[in-house]
Amino acid sequence: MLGIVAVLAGVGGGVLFVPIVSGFFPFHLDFVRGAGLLLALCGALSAGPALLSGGMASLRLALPFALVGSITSIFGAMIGLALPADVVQTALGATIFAIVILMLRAKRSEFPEGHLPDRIAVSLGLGGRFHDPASGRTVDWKVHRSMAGFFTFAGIGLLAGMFGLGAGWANVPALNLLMGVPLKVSVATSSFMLSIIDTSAAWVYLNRGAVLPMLTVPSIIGVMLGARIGARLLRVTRAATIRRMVIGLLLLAGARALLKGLGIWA
Amino acid sequence: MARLGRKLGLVLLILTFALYVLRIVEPHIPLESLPQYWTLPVDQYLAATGLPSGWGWIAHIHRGDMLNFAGVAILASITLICFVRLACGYLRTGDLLFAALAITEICVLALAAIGVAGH
Repeated sequence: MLGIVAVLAGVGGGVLFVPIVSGFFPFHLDFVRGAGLLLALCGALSAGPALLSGGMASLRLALPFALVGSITSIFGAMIGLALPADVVQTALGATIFAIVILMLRAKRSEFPEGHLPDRIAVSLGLGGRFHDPASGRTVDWKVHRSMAGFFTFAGIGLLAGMFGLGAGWANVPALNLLMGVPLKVSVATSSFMLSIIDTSAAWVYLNRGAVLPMLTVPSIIGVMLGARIGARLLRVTRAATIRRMVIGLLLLAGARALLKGLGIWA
Repeated sequence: MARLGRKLGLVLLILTFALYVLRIVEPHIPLESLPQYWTLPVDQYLAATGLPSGWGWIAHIHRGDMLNFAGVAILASITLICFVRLACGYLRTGDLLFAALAITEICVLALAAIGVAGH
């Protein structure tokens, strides 16, 4: 079910999996976060090659920012595993609410225009030409606010490692709204970045022993099967309805995480 | 390469999980006693079950539950392997800046994988 809903709502599996499973199932949060990262990683690995070969994802754009995110995700995983579970659970609840606000408020810009590339973007050669078959437009895109982008992806990596949430929920707004990358390029590049950022944190959980096969393996298989069904349902389902459902689910799971962490609803 | 690695990892995950839950290969932690351990924080879980951390699972690969880590490790290694290929490509084309970035990423992932980073 999570796989189906994740695809229909355009969010990664991890952002739904971790708060829902840690809130409503008996598994300890350590194992849920380990599973969440591997789940998000497998989803990204499924989509990544097709997006790269289709010319939608920009490897050049992903590499420098994902490198920063992959380093901070290791620290995030270390912090998350060192902190008491109730503290992480409370922080997870607060983060889920912040994600809901981001989902509700963030506007998306199909083809951001009117900005000049900054010095870092020019020296790294970040930019390109993108043809959108849907609108028939060909756009020369460029990147600005690169330094702010580095800091943002450092934060995204930290949160991804700490909570096992994956990073897709934050990558797209950061690339599209902050750095001025066209929406479709942002979505495709985000999937590739997610596989880089999550891998380093996933190894930390794996090496610490925080991967429970009984939880992780069925979750990976289920979410990947669900994602295939979701991709077929995408054509016949109303995106707005699914989006409202996901926001409702996240609000419920976020409230549960917060109350569980604070010891009000154990 | 990513496609092949993902397919291999997934097939291995499904096969090893079937061997585990169908009790064809006996697990380290009996299935019926697993619920008493999965509520514990990871440190207590390892202490209570006597399971190793890091790559110690390889020594217990003959156990049904530990066998599942083979597929997980393959899936988690795909990004690293892809980056080795990527770095070689950048070096071949003379894009030294991006070759350096790719090699740095390889180091980060390798340190995380061998357990140096994160402990």
